[in-house]
Amino acid sequence: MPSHLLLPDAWRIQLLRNQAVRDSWLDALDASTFKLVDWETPRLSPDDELIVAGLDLSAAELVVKLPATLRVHALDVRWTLPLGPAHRFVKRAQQRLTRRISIPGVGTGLPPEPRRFLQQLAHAVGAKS
Amino acid sequence: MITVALVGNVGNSVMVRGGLEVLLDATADALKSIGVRVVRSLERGAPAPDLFHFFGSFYGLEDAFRAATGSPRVVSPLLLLADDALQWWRAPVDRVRSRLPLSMLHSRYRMLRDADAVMPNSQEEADNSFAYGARGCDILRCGVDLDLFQPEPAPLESLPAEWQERCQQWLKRAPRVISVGRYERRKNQVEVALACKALGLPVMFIGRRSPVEREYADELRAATAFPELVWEDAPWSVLRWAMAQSDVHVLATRHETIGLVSLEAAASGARPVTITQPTSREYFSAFGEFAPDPSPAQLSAAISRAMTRGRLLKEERRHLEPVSWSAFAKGTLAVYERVLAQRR
Repeated sequence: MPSHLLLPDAWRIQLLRNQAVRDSWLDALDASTFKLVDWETPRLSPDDELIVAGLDLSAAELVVKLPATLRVHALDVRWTLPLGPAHRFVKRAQQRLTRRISIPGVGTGLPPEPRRFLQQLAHAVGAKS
Repeated sequence: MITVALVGNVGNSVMVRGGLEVLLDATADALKSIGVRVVRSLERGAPAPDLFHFFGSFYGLEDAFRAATGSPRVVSPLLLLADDALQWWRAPVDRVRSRLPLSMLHSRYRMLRDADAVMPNSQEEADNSFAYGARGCDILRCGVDLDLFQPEPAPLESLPAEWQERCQQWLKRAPRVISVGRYERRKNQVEVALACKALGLPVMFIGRRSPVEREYADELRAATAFPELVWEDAPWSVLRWAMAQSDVHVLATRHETIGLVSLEAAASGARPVTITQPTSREYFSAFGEFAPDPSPAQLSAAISRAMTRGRLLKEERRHLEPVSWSAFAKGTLAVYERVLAQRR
């Protein structure tokens, strides 16, 4: 079963802006077992698996709304700590996670090289399943 | 041809279609119909957008907004009103706001300040936007498809066969109250049911179970005098037909910016009953009825008044023309063109 993958908003904006980078990501995703969750998103089912690549606030808002049966793994990437209630929102999302995955050297600013990133992610997910 | 990327929070609709997604879909369709190229997902080969249009200005969009720095960015600040209904949130922010420079505040304020254009959909939302940093506002009211939602119902035989019997039962009731929306506690459908029970009116609910409050539809069935009229997952054609066959539509929640469904019901001829707030007044004062709060007593009074007035008259429907999606799209395109011209 493919895992649904939610990329950080910042990455998706960069992919929209750069056609070559976007196409390389789409090629890499096609070759992987990951299914991209996008703005025009496929519906998730309660028994799906979602990997959140960077728990930014947008992702946190999603995660806290997901049914308890849906497995949510978060990839640790750096994100900016906001002020106010949003911070509590992210904390709530963190409590909801099934597990956290770590891939060194990946940040939220610019999207990484897709093939290597997806291979690392698949390895991290597989190794810990 | 202008290419625009419409960006909203995925989180609002990843499990079930929500209001934000409806708004994004309708905006995309309306813009496409007047020749704007709309990008909403990562398509292979699509050109880079000329500008980004963010919907929400709620937490969650800040990373996307910041990542689009350098490109023209416009914001439709949709959730300011819903926020303002949450007093717990407003008060601490105001306390902080008095001590910190604007740039230190929540992303929303930075978005409102830094956007090339802010496009609220009501005067109330514009007032809020100015209060929180917007330097200018273009009020663009939205949105209903007046061709899709018509007061004349489609023939019963044209509906899906498995729904025709149920629809026939609905026709045997009179007068008819309807309430459309996802089944959620914050939408107060139980209160609507109790209000109609007190008035002895048949009320039909059309909606979907919320993934996080799946039991609420059952609570609603227990509360209403007409549990057989709590319909789930009705197709669009049935929904439009039911609205066109109803006298009054009730939307009893503050968690709406406008309540697009109230506009759709009104276009279908059902007189809208909503909760009083400045935005509701802006949109529905010409033909709607208002309850000051969603208590069954207040809703009963408002529904009763709406019933006395009956279905919308033809001339009342004309008030909806300025809030059609086609008018919204033309106004939005004009803002895009202005922003792009200023950037050249």
